[in-house]
Formats: sequence, C-alpha cells, structure tokens
Amino acid sequence: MSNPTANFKQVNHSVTKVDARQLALGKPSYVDDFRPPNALVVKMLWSPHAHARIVSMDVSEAEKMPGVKAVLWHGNVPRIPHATAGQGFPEPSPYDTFMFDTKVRFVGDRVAAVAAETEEQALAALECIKVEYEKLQPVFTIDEAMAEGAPIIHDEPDAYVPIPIPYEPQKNLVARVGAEVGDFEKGMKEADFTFDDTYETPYAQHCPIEPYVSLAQLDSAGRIVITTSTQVPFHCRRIVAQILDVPVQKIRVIKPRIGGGFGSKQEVLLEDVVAMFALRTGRPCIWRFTREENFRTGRTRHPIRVRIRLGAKKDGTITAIGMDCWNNTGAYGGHGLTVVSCCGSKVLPLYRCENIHFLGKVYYTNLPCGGAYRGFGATQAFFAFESSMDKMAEALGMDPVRFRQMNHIRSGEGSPIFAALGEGKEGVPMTVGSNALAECIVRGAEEIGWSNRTDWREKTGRYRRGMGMACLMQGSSIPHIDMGGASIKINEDGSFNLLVGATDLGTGSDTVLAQIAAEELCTTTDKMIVYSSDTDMTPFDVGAYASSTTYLSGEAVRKAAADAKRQILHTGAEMLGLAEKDVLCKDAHVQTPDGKQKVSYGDIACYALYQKNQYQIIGTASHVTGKSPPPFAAHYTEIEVDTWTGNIKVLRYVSTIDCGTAINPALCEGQTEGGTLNGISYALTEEYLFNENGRMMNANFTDYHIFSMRDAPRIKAIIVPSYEDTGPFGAKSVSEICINGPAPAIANAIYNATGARLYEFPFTPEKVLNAIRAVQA
Amino acid sequence: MKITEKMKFEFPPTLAVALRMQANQKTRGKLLAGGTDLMVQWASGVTPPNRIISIWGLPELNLIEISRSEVLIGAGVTHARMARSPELKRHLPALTAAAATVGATQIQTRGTLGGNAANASPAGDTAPALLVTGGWAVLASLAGVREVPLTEFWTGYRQIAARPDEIILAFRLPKKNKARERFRKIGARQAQAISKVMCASRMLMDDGRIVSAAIAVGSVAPTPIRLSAVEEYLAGKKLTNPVIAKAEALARAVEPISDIRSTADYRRWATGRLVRDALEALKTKSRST
Repeated sequence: MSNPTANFKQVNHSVTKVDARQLALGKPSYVDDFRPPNALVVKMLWSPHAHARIVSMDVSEAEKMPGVKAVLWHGNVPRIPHATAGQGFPEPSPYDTFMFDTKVRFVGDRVAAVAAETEEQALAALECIKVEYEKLQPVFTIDEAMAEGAPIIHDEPDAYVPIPIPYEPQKNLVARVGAEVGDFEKGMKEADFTFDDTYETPYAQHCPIEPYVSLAQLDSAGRIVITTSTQVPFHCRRIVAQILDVPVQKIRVIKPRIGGGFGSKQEVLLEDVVAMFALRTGRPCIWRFTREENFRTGRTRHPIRVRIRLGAKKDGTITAIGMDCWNNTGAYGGHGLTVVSCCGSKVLPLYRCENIHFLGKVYYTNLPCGGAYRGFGATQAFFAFESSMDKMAEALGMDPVRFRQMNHIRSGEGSPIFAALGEGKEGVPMTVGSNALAECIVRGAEEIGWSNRTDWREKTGRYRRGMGMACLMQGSSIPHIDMGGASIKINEDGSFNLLVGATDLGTGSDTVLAQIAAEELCTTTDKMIVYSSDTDMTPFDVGAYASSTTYLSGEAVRKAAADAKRQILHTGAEMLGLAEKDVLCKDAHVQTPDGKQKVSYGDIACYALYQKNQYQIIGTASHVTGKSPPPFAAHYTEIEVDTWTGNIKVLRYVSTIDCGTAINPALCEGQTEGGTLNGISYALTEEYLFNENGRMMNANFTDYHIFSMRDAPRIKAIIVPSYEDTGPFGAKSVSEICINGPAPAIANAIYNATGARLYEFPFTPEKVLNAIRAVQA
Repeated sequence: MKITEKMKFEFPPTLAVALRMQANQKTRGKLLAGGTDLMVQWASGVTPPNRIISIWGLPELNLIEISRSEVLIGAGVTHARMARSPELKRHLPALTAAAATVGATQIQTRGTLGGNAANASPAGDTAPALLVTGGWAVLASLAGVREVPLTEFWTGYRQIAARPDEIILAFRLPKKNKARERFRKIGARQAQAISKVMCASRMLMDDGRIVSAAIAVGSVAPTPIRLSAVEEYLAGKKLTNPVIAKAEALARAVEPISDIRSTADYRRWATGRLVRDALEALKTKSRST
C-alpha cells in the first residue's frame, strides 16, 4: 500500500491554531468577556443537606432586598422533568431533574436563585431566603443504595426515562446493562489460572481553567440569546427549550472560545436559570460558578467499583473475561448508563476471548453527580482490567508485554462486544480497520527500556524502581447516533467561510477542521474563516464528546468541501472553456494537468458571484458514522517508590498513540501529553473528601491537588501512524484514550517495584505505605 | 476574596511608623508581611480584619547579616531570596531547603520568613528549620527590643509569643558550623501542597558519636515541635542500627491528628521514618539537605 499521507499538504502538518493570535493577545474571546455593563448577576442558594425535603420556603424578604430583580424557586417556575446531560435525543438518561424541586438530593443541589444588580446584592439576598428542611436519611455508598429498604432518592412520581431501558428509582437503580458472549462459566472452568478481584475508582473533577459560565439576554425581537461555555450548543438549545417550555425557535445558543471542558460541559447546568431570569427581567443575566461550586455542583467522574474475573490457559490463551461494574452516579442519573456501558464497550474488545460476561449497574446516591469526563468509563474499567492482566501474566510466568501481544485484537478482527453494547441500545457490529497497537507496544517498550525490567523480589533498599505498562483503546464517535454537519462557501478573494456545528472547547478542532477543508479544496488553511457552534448560523452537530469531532465532524467538513470543490471545478472549467474532466484543482486554482491554463479560486468566485451563470458556490454535508474505530495506545512508565514514606515519583512516562492520521501532529501530542498528565494526577493525588454529612471538604485548589508543572514527569508522546479508511484523510480520535493509561500503568509499576498490589487509587503515600507494610509483614 | 470598602490598608513608610501604629489600640491593625497565608484565609471564609498594615518591603526588615557565629535574617526577607542565597545555604541549609519548598514560585517571591512564623500554622514550612537552630526571634515595640528563644516562640495552635504591639524584626540564628542539617517534607505533590509531615534536623557528630541532636517536626502537633525525647536519647550515642531503630520508635510517640491531608497513623509512622532518614543520611558521606 502506498502511503497516502506522503502527499498531504495541509493535514498531517502542525499548522498554528486559528485562534492562537486572538487568545495570545487577550482579545475578548470567552463568555465573561461579553458581559454587557447592565448585566444582572445570578447567585444560587445551594442545599446544605445531602438529602432533605423542603417543607416551606419564603423568598419575599429576598425579593425586597436592594438590587434584587428576580428570585426563582420551585414555587414560581414550571416543573418539567428533564436530563441535564447533553446527549442525543431522546436521551439515554433519566428525566429526573427539575429546574427547582421540593427535595434536595446532595450538598450543592439547587434551592433558589437570585438575580441582582451586583454580586454582593445577590449574595445578601440569598441570606434572606428562609427555608425549612425536613432532613432525610442520606445514602452515601453503592452498598447503602442497593440495600433492602434503602431510602429512595428519587421518590417523585414524575421522573421517567425517555427510552426503553431499565429504570427502577424505587430501588435507587438508574440503569442496568449487560452482555453475554459464549459461555463465561465454561470459560472459567477451562482456565488453568483464574483471578477474581474488585477495584474501586474515585471521584474527580475536570478542573478546566474556565469554570461553568453562562450569559443570557433578549435580542430586539425578544428571542433569548445564550452565550455559554458549553460542549453541546445544540443539545443546550433543545434542553433549555424543554425546561422553559418555549419553542426551540425562540432560543439562540452561541459558544464563544472555551477555556476547557473535558466532558464537564457536556451538561446543561446554568443555561436554564440565566435564560429564565432574562425572560423574567428583560435584562442580560450572567452566572459564573466559583471554583468551589465547580467542585460541588459541577459534574464529576463517576466512581465505579469494578469486579474483574479472568481465566487463562497455561499457553496464555484467555478463556473467560467477566466484568461487573457498580456505578455511583450521585444524585442525578445523567450519563449513568452510557458511562457504565463504555466500561464494557471501550475495554472488553481489546483482547480476544470467546467467553465474556458483562454487567453494569448504576445507582443513585446523595453525593455529587457523575457526568461525562474524558475517558468516560473506560478510564475506570481499564484500571481494573489492565491490573488483572498483569496479575494473570505473572501467574502464567509470562512477560506482561508478551501476554498482551499474544491476545490483543488485530486489524480485520471484530468483537461481539461491539454489537452487544451501544448507548442505551444495541451496538453496531464492527471489525477493526486501522490498528497500530502492535507497533505501539514495541515502540513504547524500546523507549522505556522494558528489557531492563527486573522482578520485584530482586529489589532491595529504600528507593525501589518499577516499570509498568498498559494497553488501551477508546472509540471515535457513537455510530448511527452522532451526527455532524458543515457548510462551506467561497468569497471573492478565494477565502472560504467554514461553518460547523462542531464545538472547539480549546482542543483546536476549528484548526483541525480548517486543515481538512483546505486539504480537500487544494488550498491553504489560512484561507479558512472558521465559525463554529452558533445555533442560528451553523449547521447542527451533536457537540464535542465521545471522541467524535475530528472523525465525525471532520468527515462532514471533508464532504462539504468536496461538494464545494465540484462547483469550483464546474465554474472553473466553464471559465477556461474546457470540460470538467480535463481540469483539476491545485494550489487554489482550477487548471489543466500541465498547468498551462489556469484560473484562481478568487476569479472563480467573482465570476460566479457577479458575472455569468451566477450562483453562490456553497458546499454542505452531514455525516453519520457506521463505525467507531478505536484509537489504540500502549503506555509505559518507570516510577520510584520511597518504601519508607510511600511516596511515588513518576520518573518517566511514555505514551504511544495510534490515532490514524494525525491531522495536526502538534495538537495530537498536546492531547496525548495533557491527557497523560491528567491521568497521572488522577492516579496519584486527586480525590473528593467528604465529611459525615456528605459535604465535600476539599472543594478548592489548596486541598484538591491537580498536578502542577513542578510535578510533571518527563512525558514522551509517540505518534504511531496508521490509516483509518473511514475517517477524514485516515484520521480517528485522540483526545480521550490517553487518560486511561496512568492508573493501571502506575499500579503495575508499584507492584513491579515493591510487590504491593493496589486495588484503589489515588495512590497516596498513606495507601502505598499500608500496602508495602502488608507485603513486608 | 473581595476587598471591601470596610477594609483599610496602611502602608507605613518606615518601621518606626509601623511600630507607632501598633503601639496604639486605635491605630493597630493586622500585620501583612506578604499576605500569602492571610489572603488565602480571607478567600476561604475567614472574615478579613478592618485594618491591615502592610510591612512588606520595609527596608529595616530586609537585612541579612552574617557574623562569625550567627546569621541575622530580617523578618521581611522573602523565601525566594533565602532559597537563592549561597551564603544562607552554607550556614543554614535546612532553612533554605524549606524556603524552596514553600508554595510555588509566586508565593516564594511574596511570602516572608516573618510572615510564615507569625502565621503560626503547624504546617508552616520554615518553622522546623528555624527550631533546630536553637536561635531567637527578635521582637520590637516602642517599649524596646527583646528576644524570645524559638523553642518558646510558638505557644499554641496559631499562637505566638509576640505581644499585639510587637513586630517581628528578625531571627537570630546560630550557624550550623560543623553540624549537618537536613530538611524533608512529605506532601501530596511537589508544589503548592501543605505538608502531611516534615522534619528538619541539625546534628553534630564527632568520632562516630552524636554530640548534639536537634530535630523538629511540623504538621504533627498544634505547633511545630522539637522531638526532645529523641534528641536526649541520641546525645552521645554511636550511630548503630539499634540506636537508629530506637530513635525512630521514640519519634513515633508524637500525637498527630487525622485531617483532610493525612491520617494520624500515617503521620506517626512517617515522623519515625523521617527521623530515620535524617540519621541514615548522617552515616553517608554525601552532603546534607
């Protein structure tokens, strides 16, 4: 096969981000930069209780406070069940949320909101709201939630789930999903070695630089214009229309530049309130979360208990894989089903096995709400699964790399799991196309020096080094569900307006999509004027999630560009007096193959706009994928454990990645390094600490520790190219997969250093020391 | 944190003016010597005082004087300046190592030795290193100057021996001379992490015996403390394995609390391990800290 990437002029090059200059210069770019001077400030009264009924409430005094323009509470807004999760419609999440309710279900749940002239006035008014609570017994763990006779968190009669999936709120059960392939029990019986281990993964917050922030105002026609920091502008419009009971037609959602999301902003948490205040007051209204609110009320990573049962024969054949997941979704069920489903669907296909059991259950608790977070269930499940793979390799007396090399999925192979597990319905059968995992494994092993790895029993002394690795996969978009649209039109100077629904939240997708359009159109990326995510102006797109933008929206852009290119060729040929078959596009010209006759895109645009047979050259296309091709990765790390204090130092980390064609290699490396550091921080330090009332005690950056640059180890990102035939110019996804590696790779390295196996993280000095002392005892 | 209209900031141009302000109850205010602790406290819900007197940058507090046997460090000297001073590193290596672990670059640039001491957090990074020097805090008021031994400086949880009319002028710290110093901190991450446990030590060896041992720990008691029982045990001992083990066990007699940063159990264990770490380091030829 010839290498198609060799001829690329725009894609597969690290062009500068299209928004780099404006951001570097500090030009108004983000939501709060567009706050009008007369904007009212919104503040929320949050529940101090984990589980309580609101017996009575009096907002009259607050309404009379200076500067207060409106107060919202359950007594004066519509009661419409909905899901805050920004997903396809109808959502695979329960409609268990109300703008305001008579019950509060976690510390940080909404009670009442105030819009006032200033923040101080809004805060002062909140203090005047009188609320009488009847405290209810809270549920803080999965075990408590599952217990017979447990308090029912969602006892309201009007909650329901809009698609046919199991939902039993009287048992605190949000969802259940399972898959059986072959005969799992038989596979376990055939095995020479079996393991049965249970792992726990913690809460975490995405900690984007920009917290949640939304601004709503009425335009001159009385429509509601919402400028918001969102990953899902179109879902946001639909959901706000639903909650406010107004037509979609009445709402416009604009996404400006975004200061990071990582999944947290795949949620509608503020927009309904600012929109309602704008309607009630006629004034622009802005609401920005504090960092504390971002932690308490913002979405988190679902903590999941994962039980792995693994059976293998002496020769290394895996005979059975069992995965049971118990997902704590917190007080509301958004993304509960889909996250637990991805525990299976994004992990189990990685290794060949004929007998697979998967069961995921999702439970409510009175703790903060889980949501979408980079990795989306795969992160939690890979920690468990790749830890068990290492245990099995040791039992087999096999190098962990060799064991994985023997069993990992190859190009041309499928997995019954692809067909069995989808998003609230069955999945899509699929065979893997591009797959450079084998090379990823080898390149990573070379880079880290895997051949120097020694057994933990040979190690002595206070500081012990260990190496660990993990293999990973993810998906690229949700097949037959996600849709992206794009349109592209030409201007007189040969520039193009590229309009996409796709949502750049700092990832660089505007740049990547411009590169794809430019490549298809045989022009340069700097000719693209990209405008994204404005529900009045751009085509629809589901938004930035499920590792979909490059693969899904990118293909929509490529098709739209191809559509425009056909028109350019047509008009160019007409201008040259030649047949379309005798001309081609090259370097922003339509020309004969020898280049002797040619006409520029600018001249073609002027001709079409002003001169003869006039029309607007405009291409438009939509794309739905039939596959979700997995990117693959092999992660390696070398760490040093201080066996006296339990402190872990990550010395080196190697992240190899097969993301198909890297449309923008610098951005792919950035995603890979960023996701890896994000994962290392999650593995080593990040956790939610609750007091006995379910209140998070470390809702700030002093006590919730994300890794800083001083902590960052040497991370080497290695892009191992492959070519995904179904993706734009061979691309598949890159953004999520890299966060899945650090927890299992570091866990395996801790074992290799000390013989201590950890079943839950973060791997704090306290936990590591206890595990080491247990080994030494 | 919001600066409200109620808060009044004073910037006295000289130490004399500052002392006069503090002498009178009506003009007295909360001293701000960098603000890297105070601002965080105010931001997290502690009501800020109405009157704040910034002594940051006062030239009288910014001296570093090195004499034959002692170092005098002004209370206004920043952590960054200490961490970068080769002379301080030679004479007080535990202190400069501690200064280099305070917060992050910005905090080290703004935060001061006097501010860190006056904040009196049990987790204050520089306190154990100050304690092991056996030095003094120099306090000034209109009534005069007096010196308080550092072992008597931290009197209780977030309490110090200075009177309301006094300002910490400087710290008078004996040089380590031939002794060896070491500072180790265990935190959740490299930068901007309040310690779980930390330990500073200054030990003088002669002919394989410990002549004198000063060991101080932080984050394991309401104040930074010296481990006197360990110190007394070690005096005159040879550094044998049983001696080290006994010292470690004695160090574990501390009575820390469990909080969001660590557990009592871990802190006890880690205190013992940090003492062992200091003693093991003495056995090697390698440089201290």
